[in-house]
Amino acid sequence: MKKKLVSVLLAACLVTGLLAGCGNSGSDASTQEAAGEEAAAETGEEPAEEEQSEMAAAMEEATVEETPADSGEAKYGGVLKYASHITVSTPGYTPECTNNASLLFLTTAYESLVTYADDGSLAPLLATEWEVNSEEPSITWTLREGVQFADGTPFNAEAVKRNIEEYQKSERNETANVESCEVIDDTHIKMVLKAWNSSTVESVGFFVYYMSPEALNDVDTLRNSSCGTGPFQVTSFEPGVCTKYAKNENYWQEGKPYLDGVEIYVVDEPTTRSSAFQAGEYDIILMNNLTVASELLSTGKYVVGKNKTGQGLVMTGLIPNSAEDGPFADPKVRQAMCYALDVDALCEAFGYGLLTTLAQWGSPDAVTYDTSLECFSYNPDKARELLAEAGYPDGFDTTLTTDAGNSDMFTAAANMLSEVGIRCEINLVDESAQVNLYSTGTWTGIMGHFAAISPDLGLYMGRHLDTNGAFYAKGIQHPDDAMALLEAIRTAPTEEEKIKLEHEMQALIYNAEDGIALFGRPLFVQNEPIFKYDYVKNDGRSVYHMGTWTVADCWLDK
Amino acid sequence: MSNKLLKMIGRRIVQSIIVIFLVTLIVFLLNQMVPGDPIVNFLGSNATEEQIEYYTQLFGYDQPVLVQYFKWIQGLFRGEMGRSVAMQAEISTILFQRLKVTLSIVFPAFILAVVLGVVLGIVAAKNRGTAIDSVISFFANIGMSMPMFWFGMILILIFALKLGVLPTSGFTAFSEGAGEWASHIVLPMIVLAMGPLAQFTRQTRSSMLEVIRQDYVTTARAKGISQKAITFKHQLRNAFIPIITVMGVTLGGMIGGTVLVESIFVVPGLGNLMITSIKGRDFMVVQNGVLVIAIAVAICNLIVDILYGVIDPRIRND
Repeated sequence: MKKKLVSVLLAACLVTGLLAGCGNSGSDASTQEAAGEEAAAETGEEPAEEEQSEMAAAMEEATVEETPADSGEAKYGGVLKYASHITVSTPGYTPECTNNASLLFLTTAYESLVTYADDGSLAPLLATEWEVNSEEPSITWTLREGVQFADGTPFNAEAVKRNIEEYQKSERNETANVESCEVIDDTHIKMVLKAWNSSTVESVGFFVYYMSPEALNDVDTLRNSSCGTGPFQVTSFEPGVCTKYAKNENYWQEGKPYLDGVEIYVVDEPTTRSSAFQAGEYDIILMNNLTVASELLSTGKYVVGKNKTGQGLVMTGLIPNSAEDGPFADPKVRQAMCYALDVDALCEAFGYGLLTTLAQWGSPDAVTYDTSLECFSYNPDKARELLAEAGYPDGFDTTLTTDAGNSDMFTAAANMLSEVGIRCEINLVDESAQVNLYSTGTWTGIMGHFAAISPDLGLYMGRHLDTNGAFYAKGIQHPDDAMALLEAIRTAPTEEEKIKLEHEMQALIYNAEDGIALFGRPLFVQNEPIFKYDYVKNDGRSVYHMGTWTVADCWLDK
Repeated sequence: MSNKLLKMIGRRIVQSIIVIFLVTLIVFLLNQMVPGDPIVNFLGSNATEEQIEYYTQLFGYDQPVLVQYFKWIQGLFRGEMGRSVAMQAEISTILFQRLKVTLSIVFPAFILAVVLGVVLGIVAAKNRGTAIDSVISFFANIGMSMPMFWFGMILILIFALKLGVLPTSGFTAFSEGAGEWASHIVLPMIVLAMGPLAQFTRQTRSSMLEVIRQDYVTTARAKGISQKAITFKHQLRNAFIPIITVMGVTLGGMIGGTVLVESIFVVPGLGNLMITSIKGRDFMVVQNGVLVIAIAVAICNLIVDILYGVIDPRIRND
């Protein structure tokens, strides 16, 4: 009896202690709230509608679209600490930084010829101007004078040529169209192209980050350090852990940078990242987990960065395998799939107000997103009708492949598809297996479509639509009209002509009447929230491109 | 050390080498069966076929499976583990850096678990059936059944967010400051030690209870030997044999099983590296990581075998 009493008392003490730990401070309460939301997501219960709209309002309220000019007099000093789940193989040897996720590291120590302006157009950086000749075809760049690499080597046309060659050695697609580089003088270089491609200015201008030619003589050292023209240079690099930068004393922009240093940490676990941020261990974080992001938003304490240009955004959609011999080879079945999905309902139920729904390729703010186009919308009757026309009046069985991160939403999507007769069995795989499936084009039925949807369709849609594309391309059809239009976009002589053709491409694929739905149904773009303390000024994180920042302008008001 | 003991150690070393060789083969073959490609994962969604081909050749993934295996083994004999695709660095350098971090948490956690577990086990056994025994057994049961992830998060919320006395995550090497190092390892160490501590407490308690009833204890007591001498010289020494077995297995398990703790507290150790590498399909890192863990477990088992011989003369002379 005595033993039982002791046990009961101990259990009571333990429970009380733990509840005290989860206590009643603001942040802890929000944790409980988030845990409740997570539980609701797991059980399939939708968060209340008011909660959703409150979250969206909080997002709107918390969002600050900064421009470098709007934050008063800058202060010098301090070290900015940033955390995200993103790792890089090297912060210093830029040809091996192969995806958009590396851009944050690159834009800290390195610079490209051009950057993006507020409206998403190209703006001068290391190049002050450029002249394109679609006839020859070539691009002639005028380089900024007085720029030096961190080791004192001058940035000039020879350095540009050396870097382009280094990128070509690594088979980077950004430089694949450059036939040769002709050095005109120190500040002028002409790139002769293999064929005119309207995307080459952007791909060579933005995606090549210039390293000191001297440093390129020792690539092994460069891999773990840096030697660029950027505002900060690497002082230490621990792969998958932390990259530390110190101010580049040779930086060409007078009076910049303001910070003494930058530290970029890798914190894979979202809850830990959020806790560390709330404890003040980081000044700014990227939060890729919707549940945790909504919890941070609900505190109302932090500033949220927002992308302005649509550059670097990643779309999530559902893509059917139209290359395999099955129902999805028929455009009518793909259209039926698009009509069967209530995208608004899906995003409302699973997006915590943080998702922007899509009906075509790209961010709705982008110039290539045709807002006048009538796209596929939820219409299950139409979906059934189309299935019957395609010879599937009783529907058919198929597979929907998803990773764990999207499984809740995709399971709900599978239920919607089943209602019209596209009966999906869920195939849960991990992220790498998923990458393997879409790189080999061997997925069966439907799977998640994750695509960089920057506004240049020739460059970004081309990576999937092109017969040589590395991802999804082997699992989709390549109809002649789409391929001809892609070629026309790439060879468009002017920007206006290009945008007109890009709108035609959107119509060909996504128009409600007879769009060929090659990429299935776009669902949403997650404007991955960047959370920061209000003392972080002018970081420009994600504002002009989801992967970059304007760290030279950044300063800490504390 | 007797010849018999030396022979036994020699036998164990040979057995360990065979086990390690089999581990390399099994891990390599399992990696081949896992869907996913390290090069495709590394290059990301902007990659072209030419680029994928270039890096596949560069890292030798275009070669037949057996050739890849033998090249790896050959490299190991030369002391080379190969190069990580995702990190573009020598694997041996990364692995040993990470192993140092893991060990700097595992050893303090292990010592904490052993010392506290054995003491609590003895106290519980000596006070069998009393409230003290109930309290210790209760907490041992809690420790055994508490989910590590949840416990870690609760500690972060209490000590880092609410009280603000400890950092939430990260790691500082001992060489960069003992205070910083200590403040960073306290929480991971407690979480890592919790399960083994409970296990050692229960094991010590039950082993001690077994030997307490033995005739030689009664004899010792009848001979007028002090209670302290009976406990430490006669009871504990005999009770220690099963405890050492558990210790060996647990230490090996702790080295390989720090994945969760390192993930929660963002400790850049071996477990964290393994998870990242498995996600990125960086097979060479996974293979070599498993090899290092297998060697660590083999060494732990060897130490246990030696300790058996030292503690128990029957084993030494058998």
